Amino acid sequence: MTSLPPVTQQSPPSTAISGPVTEGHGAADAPVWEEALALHSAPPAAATSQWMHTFIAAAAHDLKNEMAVVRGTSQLLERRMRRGPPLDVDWFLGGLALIQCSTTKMHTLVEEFFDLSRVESGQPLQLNRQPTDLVALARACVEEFARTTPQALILATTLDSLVGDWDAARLERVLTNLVSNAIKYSAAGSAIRVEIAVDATGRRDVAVVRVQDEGVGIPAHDLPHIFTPFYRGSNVVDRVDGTGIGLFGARAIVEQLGGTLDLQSTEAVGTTVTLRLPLTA
Amino acid sequence: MALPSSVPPVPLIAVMNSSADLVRILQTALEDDGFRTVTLVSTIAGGATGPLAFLREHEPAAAVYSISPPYRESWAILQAVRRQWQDGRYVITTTNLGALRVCVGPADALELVGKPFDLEQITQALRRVLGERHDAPADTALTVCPSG
Repeated sequence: MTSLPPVTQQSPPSTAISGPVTEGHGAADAPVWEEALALHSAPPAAATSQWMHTFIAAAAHDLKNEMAVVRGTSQLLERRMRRGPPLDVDWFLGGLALIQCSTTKMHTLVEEFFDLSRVESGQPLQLNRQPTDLVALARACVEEFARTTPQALILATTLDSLVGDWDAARLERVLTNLVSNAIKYSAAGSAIRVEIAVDATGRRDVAVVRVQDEGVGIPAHDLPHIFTPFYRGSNVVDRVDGTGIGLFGARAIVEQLGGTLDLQSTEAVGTTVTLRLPLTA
Repeated sequence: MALPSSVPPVPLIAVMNSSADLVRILQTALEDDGFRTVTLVSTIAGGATGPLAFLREHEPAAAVYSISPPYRESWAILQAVRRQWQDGRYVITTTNLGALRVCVGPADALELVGKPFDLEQITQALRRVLGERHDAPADTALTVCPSG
């Protein structure tokens, strides 16, 4: 809510998603969900049960927290309306933006559950390919988060639009996941940069999105596992809320669209996630 | 000779939560209700050190404190804070009210509020803790808490 007072930020655990570039699989390679299933089925049943327990607790917490934001904000708005004029329009718009942002987060989480369920049962995602403007999606995503977060969000591109044959809803979810991760693991006031460009050097034009933060990073030993469902960085697992399915789901979507999702990170320096998507199937 | 004013001081409330959005919402609501506030977006990184330093710096009349996953660690931190800030009065918010009720012993004078809460619940809980003394030491609470 833009006009609400500032709050003291406790120093976050300093680590970002860092390390060598992790190469993604192309759509023609082994599907990501099979890899995930293999990895996920590797631990003993007791460990898997613990993962599920942790996941459910985290998911329920995330949903209830966002519900609390929606209920609390709507009650604040109601109080101010009942108090009567003068009404601060900017304050109201800030509150409404916060409600919309929270519902977006809840929607994203629920859609991640559905995709996880499909992938876990060995089914491919049912993509709804249609002409989709990546620049417009990214701009909307950045603007929505920028209204409610203390980090400096920057969209950097020379393109007015970049239309590809993609699944708009899922691509929006990928962008939301990458930007919200950058926010979650970065300190207030730090910069988060979203760059969009086109790589025209190959057989097909490829959209390139980089989301770069100055956050806490990922320890090097966690990097090989960071796209595994329920896996979370050892430096944040007991410190920052999360379900551990966001990156896994994002990569499953991107790879089914024929693209790649790679991640570089240096602990206590920052993280860059690079999304590469061919414009056509 | 004029007598000193009998108007009681406005209580200072510490709002401590891992969600910056919820911190701002609670801060605004409590200030609308006549409290003064200090706020901290807290994580469990660093254990009890950060919350304790914050409470000692501001010496609030009460704290609205959130217990979040991993609940066991988060509860342990609160217990450590309470051992060292023994006069503190707390309203505890959580997304897992059932588990928290298991953690809190019957003699423990904590106010528990589950999320998503109504703002009025927080205000009423604060008024209750501010109107009561916490005679039961923090250690009377059960120390075993479900994980998650």
